[in-house]
Amino acid sequence: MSSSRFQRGIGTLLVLAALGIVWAFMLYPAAWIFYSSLQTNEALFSGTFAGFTFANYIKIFNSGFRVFLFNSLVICTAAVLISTFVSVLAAYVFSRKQFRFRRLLFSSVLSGQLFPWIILVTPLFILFSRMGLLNSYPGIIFCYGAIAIPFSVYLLVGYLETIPHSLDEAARIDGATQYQVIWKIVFPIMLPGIVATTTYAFLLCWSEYLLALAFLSDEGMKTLPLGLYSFFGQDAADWGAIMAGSAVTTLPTLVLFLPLQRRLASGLAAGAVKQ
Amino acid sequence: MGHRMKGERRFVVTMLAPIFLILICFYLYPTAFNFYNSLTDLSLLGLRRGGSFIGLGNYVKLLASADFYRVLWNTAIWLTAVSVALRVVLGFGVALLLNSETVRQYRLVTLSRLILLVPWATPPVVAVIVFRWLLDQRLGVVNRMLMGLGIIDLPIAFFGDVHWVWPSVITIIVWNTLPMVSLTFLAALQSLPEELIEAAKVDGATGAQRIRHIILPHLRPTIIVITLLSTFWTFNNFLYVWLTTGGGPGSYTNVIATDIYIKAFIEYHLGFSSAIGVFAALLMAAFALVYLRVVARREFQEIL
Amino acid sequence: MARRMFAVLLGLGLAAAMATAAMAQVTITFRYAFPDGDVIRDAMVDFEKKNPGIKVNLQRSSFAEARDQLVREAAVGGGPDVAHLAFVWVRDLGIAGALMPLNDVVKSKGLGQGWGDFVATDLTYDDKGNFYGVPFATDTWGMVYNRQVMAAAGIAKTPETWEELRNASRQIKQRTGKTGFGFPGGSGGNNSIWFLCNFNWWSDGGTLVDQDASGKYVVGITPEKIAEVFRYFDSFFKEGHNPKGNMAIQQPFEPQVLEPMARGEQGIAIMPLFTYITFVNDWTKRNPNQELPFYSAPTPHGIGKPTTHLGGQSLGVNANTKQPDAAWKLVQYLTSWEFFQAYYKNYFPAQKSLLAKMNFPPWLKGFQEQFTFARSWGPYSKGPAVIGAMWNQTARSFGSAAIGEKSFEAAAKELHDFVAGEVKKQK
Repeated sequence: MSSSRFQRGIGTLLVLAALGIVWAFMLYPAAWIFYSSLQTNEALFSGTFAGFTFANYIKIFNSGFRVFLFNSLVICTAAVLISTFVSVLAAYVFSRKQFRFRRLLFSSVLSGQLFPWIILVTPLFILFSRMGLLNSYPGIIFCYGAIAIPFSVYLLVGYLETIPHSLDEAARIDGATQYQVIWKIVFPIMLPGIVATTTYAFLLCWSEYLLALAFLSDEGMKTLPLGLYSFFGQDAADWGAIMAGSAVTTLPTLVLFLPLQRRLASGLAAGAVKQ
Repeated sequence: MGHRMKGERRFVVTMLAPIFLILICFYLYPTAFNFYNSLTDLSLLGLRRGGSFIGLGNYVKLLASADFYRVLWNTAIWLTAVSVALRVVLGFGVALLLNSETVRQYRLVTLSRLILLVPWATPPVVAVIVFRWLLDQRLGVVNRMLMGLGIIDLPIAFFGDVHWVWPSVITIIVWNTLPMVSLTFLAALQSLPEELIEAAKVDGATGAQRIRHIILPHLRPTIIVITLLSTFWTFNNFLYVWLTTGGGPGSYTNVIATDIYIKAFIEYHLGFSSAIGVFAALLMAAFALVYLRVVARREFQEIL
Repeated sequence: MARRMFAVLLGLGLAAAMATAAMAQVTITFRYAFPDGDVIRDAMVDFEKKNPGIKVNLQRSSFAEARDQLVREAAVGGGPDVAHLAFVWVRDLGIAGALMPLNDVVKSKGLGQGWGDFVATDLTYDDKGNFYGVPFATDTWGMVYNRQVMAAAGIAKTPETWEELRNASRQIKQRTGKTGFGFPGGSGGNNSIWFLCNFNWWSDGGTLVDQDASGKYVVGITPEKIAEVFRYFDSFFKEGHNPKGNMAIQQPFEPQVLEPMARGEQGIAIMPLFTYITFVNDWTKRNPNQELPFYSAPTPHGIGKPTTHLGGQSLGVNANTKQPDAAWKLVQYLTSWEFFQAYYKNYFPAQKSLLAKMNFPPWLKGFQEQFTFARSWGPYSKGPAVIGAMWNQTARSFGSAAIGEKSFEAAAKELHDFVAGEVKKQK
């Protein structure tokens, strides 16, 4: 009996060691960024420790990072709300309804994922510029929403498939309208799936760079990734600012998802788990 | 009956209208733009005056260039297949680890999930900067550690040596994208009813057998979806390769997205780069078709 | 009484409003593409003080994307009023319709000490005699040596020829174990191999793009010479005095190449002027009270003189600007000696008379000398060949030969044929 306890002890040790390795691998690079952001530019890569300083953070906030942070928050939140709303509507119909062309339409939603984004930038720029939507919230929010929609629909459809159709039918028999069924019955159950989808979408929009670069040239409109890239010059790069900027770009998403992560976990179970 | 049908159709149309309006605006016009341009010799500097029509000339040149096949190989195998496979396998392993009895016993699941969020939240450019420094030949901590442990005598040029460059780029990608995969699998694992596992244990099933016969089948749909999405995103990815090696040394790590960038924004051949883009999209479409028909037939029977 | 007071106040108020309106507040946008926008912001405050009625909206952009952004904006008639550009973008952007031709305004409103005082103006012209940009700040590349490492390796004389450079690099590695000439050999859009190869070719009498007697653009170098220079730079890697890791680094300001130099683990480097100034400033802050071990020197030469390019940035005025007068005032301000003295101290003005006034500290003497040898890109920019494309291809061809994928002869031929194709194009 003691040998099996010994085996279990070894097993526990191994598991915890493996966990520790995973933690180290995941955290070390990010910790390095954070640590570097508190170094002076001169000492940053020198390997020697010259004391901590907040100078880099002060510098980037004086260069407009406050505004960039605000813009990123506004744009990404709005884009994700729109895309999730629109995707929920579409996902419900794809999952619950039979109609002509359903197969074709569903596939066409996904076709948006097929392209390298880089070839979308130039034509979209020309189009939006003609419509006067450059350097404006509506223009970029529309684009980010459109980027988030394809896989949002995909994930939500998968999640909806795990919710039995009988639920809807029971509600219909009780006299509920289509819309009541969606918002009062299905939506609440779907919430974890929606939270998961929203998370993915938000992270996607948050670090998006190519479209923001083309659409937002006004300092007052820029997002965090743009702010970060502006510290790369032709003959020099402001590494301290880059590190601080990286930390500022990474932290908000962590802060946002800390409270959500429990809901996130149960929602992620979807994909396409069939009953 | 007829009245209900019409109401149904109206409902469907109302629900689908917003999404297709957005998608048409956003994807259809650029797609048409690129498709048209792929048939011209448009130059980046000539956007105003347009390019002249040359039919399938770009496509012929593309398929005839030996470089393109190497680019395709790099993109399909190194960039996509290997990194997606690693992500799925390692992600599965990490999920199992996090769901294990020991970890749950010590209440480390929540903390682990939070730690996993960190790489996911890190923007790709930041991930590249860090790893380029960590893996530097002379000053990087990884080389110093390896030499200190006696594993190697001379430092490895992780990004300069062709034997190491792809594994290094893939490491960055895996670091940045493993969390998403892992957390998805973890959630699916947590939705697996405990009784099934218990019953199997009582029946004397080993860990490996439990994985093969209970866990994997339960996770199959999730694995299929994640693999498909990851493949799409990685195949078309630009930043990881561009910021790390620029497609080099030489053209060793050139992939489709970097090739498009070079042709469009460095060589100004906007028409030709559109042809590459269209070709890449067709490839992905073909892949998706085959994948969904063959691999995911059961899961998506209803919808497709 | 109160009513009269009120009337007077109203009258005063109206008068003030009218006066302000008469001042006609004008706003222009200036897009600056380097990370040190703070000094520019301070300068803009000064400019606004000196030009009441003009307000400057300072935009920042990343240098790598600045040109593409302007091209896109040109296609739809947008963009900033004044833009901060690279020397070699001016001509292309002018021909693409993004920039305003400046011939008339320079003649009528004047600029600095006159157009002839500006360097590298040949890069700003199109084929019809219009020019589109004002050279703003100039720079070039130079060699940087660590005196202490050189002494420890027993090298008494600064290398003057390419062969001497290689010998010195070898010697540093052999005698001290440190890196010799650690240059970035990576491929990518902003690689350094392009500059190194061109410096070598030029200092030996050849050039990639040339104009023959009839004015036609041709390739000015043989594949054999290309292969020879490729082999030369590759030998630094193969012989081990330039670490292989540098095959993954493109730009000379990356910490992976600068840090070993700063730590005294490398003897020789090459870098642009601004990088060197930043490097020395950082090193001095890190090592207070220590003597600077670095000095600069001209690049090596072959049968000719040490030759580098005259690089730099220009200012352009948007072809669609609604405030050409205000924009020009800003350009005049930014090219004034006062601006460079008070704000833009780490840069060198692109005007000969101002350059002559500049004070070069001892560690910058090498660059001062190099400026006398620097040549304009000339046919590279004026001809139909796209510099960016050749820049990219040079590193790609070099890289594929260096990793053994192609022979040096095949790589050289690849580059040669590529350039030949480029120069044949219609611009």
